[in-house]
Amino acid sequence: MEEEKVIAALKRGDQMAFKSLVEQYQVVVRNMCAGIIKDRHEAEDIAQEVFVEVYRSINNFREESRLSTWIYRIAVNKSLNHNRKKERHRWLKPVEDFFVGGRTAEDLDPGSHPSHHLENRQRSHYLHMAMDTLPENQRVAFVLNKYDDLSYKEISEVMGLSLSGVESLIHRAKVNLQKKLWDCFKKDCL
Amino acid sequence: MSHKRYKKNLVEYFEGSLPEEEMLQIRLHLEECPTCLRFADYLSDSLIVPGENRINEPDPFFFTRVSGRLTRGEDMTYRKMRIAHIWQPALITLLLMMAVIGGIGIGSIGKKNNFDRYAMENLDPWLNEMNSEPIESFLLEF
Repeated sequence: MEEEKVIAALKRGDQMAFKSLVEQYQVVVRNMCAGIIKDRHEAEDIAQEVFVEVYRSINNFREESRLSTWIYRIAVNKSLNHNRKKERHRWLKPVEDFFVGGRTAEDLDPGSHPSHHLENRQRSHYLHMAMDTLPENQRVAFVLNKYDDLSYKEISEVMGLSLSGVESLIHRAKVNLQKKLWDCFKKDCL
Repeated sequence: MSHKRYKKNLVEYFEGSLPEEEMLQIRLHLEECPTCLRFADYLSDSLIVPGENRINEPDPFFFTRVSGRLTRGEDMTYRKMRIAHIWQPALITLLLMMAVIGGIGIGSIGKKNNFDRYAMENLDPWLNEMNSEPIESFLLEF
C-alpha cells in the first residue's frame, strides 16, 4: 500500500492498516528502544507505547516527513524521555528494588540470550557499559546506525541534523567507545 | 608510530578512511604486536556486536499487546478525563465557596463581640503582667 493510503487509512482508524503498520515497523522500533534503554523489559514496554502514541497522534501527523521518520522520532524521544525520567527517579531505585525485587543481569543485558556465548555476553555487556557513558546524541546516532541499520540520511532526518553532523557524531561515538573499551582492555576485564 | 598512535587510529583503520600509507603501517604493526592485534580484534568484534544482538524476527504477540495497551489506555484516559472535567471544577468551586463562607464568618466575629471596644478596654490576662507582678511588689525589691 502506498504511504498516503496507509496514512489515510490510519487516520480513519482502520485496524487492519494499524496492524500492518505495527508488523512492518515493530522490529526497527524494538531495536531502537533496546539500543537506547538498558533494560530490555522496559525497552519492550516503550516500543509498545510508541505504537500507542502513533495510533493516537496520527491525526496530528502533518506529512512533512516520511511516516517511518515520524515513527522513529517518536521512538527516540520516548526512549530518551524514559531514560531521563529514570535518571530523575534514581534515588527511589533501592526502595523499589527492595519491594519489587531488582532486575537480574540477564534483564539488563540485551545480549544475554542463552544461545550467546559467554564471551559475546561479556563483550556486549562492556560495550553497553561504555555506551552508557556516551553523550546522548552520540549514543542515539550510534544506535540508529548500528542496531537499526539506518542510513546517515535517515538518521539526519530522525535527529534533525545535517548529514555531516551525523557523520561526525557517529565517528566521535566510535572514538569514545574505543577509548572506554581500551581502558577496560588495559584493566584486563575482558 | 607508537602503540598509542596505532590504537588511536584503529576506528579509522576499520572504516578504511586513513591514507593508504597509514593503513599499511597499522596492518604491519598488527601483524607484529599481539597486544594491539588482540585489542583490534576485540574492538572490531565489539562494534559489530550490536548488530549480532539485534532483534531480527517480529514478535507474533506484539500487536496483541499494543492493542491491549491501547484499550486499557483508552479506558484510563476516559476515567482521567471524567475526573479532570467533572470532579476538578466541582472540587475547586466547593473550596472557593468554603473560603468565601469562612472569610465572612471570620469577618463577623469582631462585629458580634464588639471587638474594637473589647480590645480597648480589656487586656488579656496572659498579657497583663500587672496581675502576676503588681508594681508595688516590684518596687519593693529595690
